[in-house]
Amino acid sequence: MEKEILNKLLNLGADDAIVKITDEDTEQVRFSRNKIDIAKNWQEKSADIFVAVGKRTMFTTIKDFDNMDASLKTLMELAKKANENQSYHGIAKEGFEYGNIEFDKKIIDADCKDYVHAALNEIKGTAAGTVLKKHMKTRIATPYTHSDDETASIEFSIRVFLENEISGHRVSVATDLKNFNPVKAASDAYELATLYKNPKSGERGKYDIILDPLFFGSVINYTLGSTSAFSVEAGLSFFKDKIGENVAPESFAMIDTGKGLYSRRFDDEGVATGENKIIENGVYKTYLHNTSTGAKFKTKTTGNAGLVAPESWNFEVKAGDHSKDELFDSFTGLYLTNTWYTRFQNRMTGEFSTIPRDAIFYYENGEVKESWKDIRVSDNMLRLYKNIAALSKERQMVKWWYEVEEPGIAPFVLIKDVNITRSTQ
Amino acid sequence: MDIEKILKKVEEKADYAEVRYEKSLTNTLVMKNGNIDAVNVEQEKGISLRVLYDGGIGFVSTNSSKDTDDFIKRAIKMAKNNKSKVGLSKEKAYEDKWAVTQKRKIEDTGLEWKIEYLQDLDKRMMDTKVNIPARIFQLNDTLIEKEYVNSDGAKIMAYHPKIGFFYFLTVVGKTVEQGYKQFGYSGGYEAFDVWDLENVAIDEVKGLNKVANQGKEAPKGKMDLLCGPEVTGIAAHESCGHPTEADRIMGRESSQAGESFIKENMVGQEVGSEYVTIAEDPTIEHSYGYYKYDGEGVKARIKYLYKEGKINEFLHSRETAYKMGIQSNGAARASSYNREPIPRMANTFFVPGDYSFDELIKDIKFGIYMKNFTEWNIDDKRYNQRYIGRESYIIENGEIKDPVKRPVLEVTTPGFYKAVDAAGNDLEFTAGSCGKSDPMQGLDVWMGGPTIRLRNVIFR
Repeated sequence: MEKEILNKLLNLGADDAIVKITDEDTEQVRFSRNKIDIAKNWQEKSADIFVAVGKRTMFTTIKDFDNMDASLKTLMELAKKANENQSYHGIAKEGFEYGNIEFDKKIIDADCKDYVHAALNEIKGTAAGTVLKKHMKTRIATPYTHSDDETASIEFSIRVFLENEISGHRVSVATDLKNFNPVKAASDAYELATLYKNPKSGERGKYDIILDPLFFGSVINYTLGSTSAFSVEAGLSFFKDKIGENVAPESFAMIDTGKGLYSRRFDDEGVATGENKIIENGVYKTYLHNTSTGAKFKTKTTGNAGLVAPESWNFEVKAGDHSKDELFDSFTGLYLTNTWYTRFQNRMTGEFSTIPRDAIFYYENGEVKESWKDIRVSDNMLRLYKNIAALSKERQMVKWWYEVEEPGIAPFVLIKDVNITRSTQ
Repeated sequence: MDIEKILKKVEEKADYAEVRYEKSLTNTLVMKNGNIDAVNVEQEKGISLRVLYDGGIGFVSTNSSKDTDDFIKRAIKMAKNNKSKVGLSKEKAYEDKWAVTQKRKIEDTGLEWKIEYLQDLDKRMMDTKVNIPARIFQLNDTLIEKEYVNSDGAKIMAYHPKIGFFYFLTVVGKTVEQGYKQFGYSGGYEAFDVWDLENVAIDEVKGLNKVANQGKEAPKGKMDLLCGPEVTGIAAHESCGHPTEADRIMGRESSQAGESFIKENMVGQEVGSEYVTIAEDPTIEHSYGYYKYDGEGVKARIKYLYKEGKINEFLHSRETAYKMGIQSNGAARASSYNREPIPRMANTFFVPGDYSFDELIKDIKFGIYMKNFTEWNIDDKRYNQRYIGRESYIIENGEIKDPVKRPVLEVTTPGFYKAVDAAGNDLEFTAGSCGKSDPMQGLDVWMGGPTIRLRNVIFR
């Protein structure tokens, strides 16, 4: 179908075109207060189409396949009328050596509800969460390449409550059932909740903090937006003008990769995805590019073309030199296990705040002294990265709802001297 | 697929069923720094089926399958996952058609006109001579056709044209300041006049420039506060609307958007001063959140969530109403045919009082006027929130004085509402995209209110 649509577009006068067809079959079971609330299944097919007539460009997403020919004709008429897009510098003509993506086919037939029941057997108190399995087939055609892709993934998220405001949250996400362990996630979430006793409202001030991979994954998600070349031009990046600069300690390295929970062999121009070193040895290395932004920034595409702007796929933070236990040894400060609602005062300069949720522990000399609640991390993203003091060898793959929307692998991280605030009245 | 045919088939197999069909056409323009970066057309058409079978709810959607029997089979299979004895409240079944009218029709408004309008707006901003190195505009218009039928006999058809716009601006002076504002309207391109978009955008540029070049350090300590309508609106939406969503109160969202500091038995409890009344009204004509019937066929009506400082009413779907043993108040919404309807806001606003702006400010000896906000967030029980001013000024002896940079108020929900001692008569609405559910359902809403006065709040 993709080749047929491509040929029609070229015959209608497109100088360049990209056609991507996606078939997605997704199943989700949601539960709360230890009962399944709803089970859902979505079967969706979509066509993402890009056309260029000279420098006039148009995108369309078609989920109504009944009138495809008429839609293509309208698209081309609009494209011919559109203004010239000065940011457009063509689509990829090379970079089509694709790797293989492996996934466990057993995911397709996995029974989501069984995982819920197995997990709930592990806990006391009440729990809420989701199991989601996704099976996706993608095909792409441009005048320069033609390829296909098939992936599957499974995700489990559980928040265990022992009583009002006493909660622990854990996830297990994988591309194979062997590494998918919702029972352990449930048991770990329950254990966190049991350790989180009688929380008191925390005190404002500067603290050393240890972030759980789930929390750090959320921080990285709000960082990834700053790595797109589009964001740099739009005033949405605190990494603007930072290429070649030290933005983190030498021990810190982060890549964007096409392999992970949401694997993909190619980007939305058909370019093979790979590994992009975003930060290496603490130095900021590259923005994420498509062909057009690559040309504008006098570099090449990084294989991160999204439909409109460059996007990240899966992140991976390099493991540190310390065991998790070493991070907590003699630690005085706050161990934060989860967060939500991160917002910026200014995306160019990086001032932000985020609200820790679930278990929050105040440590003194390596021992839990108190459980806290009602605090906010109110600091600056650039300062946060600069103040990273240590990373753990242990890492987890994390993905959770909207807060860790782009999946990845994160360690525990120790950050010095972080500003904590709370409500005044 | 014929949705009435599907309903007829599934009625024999399930205890309850509803079928939704939706077709939409959305045009989006993205302008970055004066250049049209993206022109996007999205065409969507699909159906969903929600069934109640032996106490379980199953939900399926498709835009590709034509196999009705398989579609129904999948829905029943999903419902069988669950023996939780979920139910839906019994509601009157309506048969109706509704449509939103347009003066300048989306269908008749060409791409060239839209591009010219955005280019002109960009030029006017640059003509102010303010240094605005980064400028993002996004304009989208949508035509939505909906059909809804359920096994109780409801049959509703709707036609809903909508326009949305936002700008994100970076102004560089002595410091870098950023401003974002969203606009929304149900109707046609008369929206631009209704919003007074050009003047609002120019005011934004000038306001950011004042803060960037003349902004003093924000004072700290206890003082009075005037919140402009944009600030009052976000407070109404986030610390009244969200905590009164019944599904959140009953724990159904607890592993995602969280729960609520409000519990089921707290109706009548005090949460603010007597000047605090907050309403949620989907029936405001041409509002961004407008609907006549909700996503479960229940007729929309106004709801008073906080009334004279007390918790008054929750937002309900048929599922939450059933659990509480009451009737739905028509708050169930779904962002698309492929999402389940759940309790949501549409247009939430602080009910205005009768004070003029001059009356509100005149006896403030020292305080802050926070016209709008930049960073804003709240915890997942909707109790601890933080307001940071975008364009803000010192108030001294009843007069607005110097602009100040990003004053910070971090306060609890009762701490905020109990400090309110007067509400103005200048009700205004701002558009927003409200996020909730899993998968995320971003929904068009209005948030609003008048200028309100708070006494003795603490800035840090």
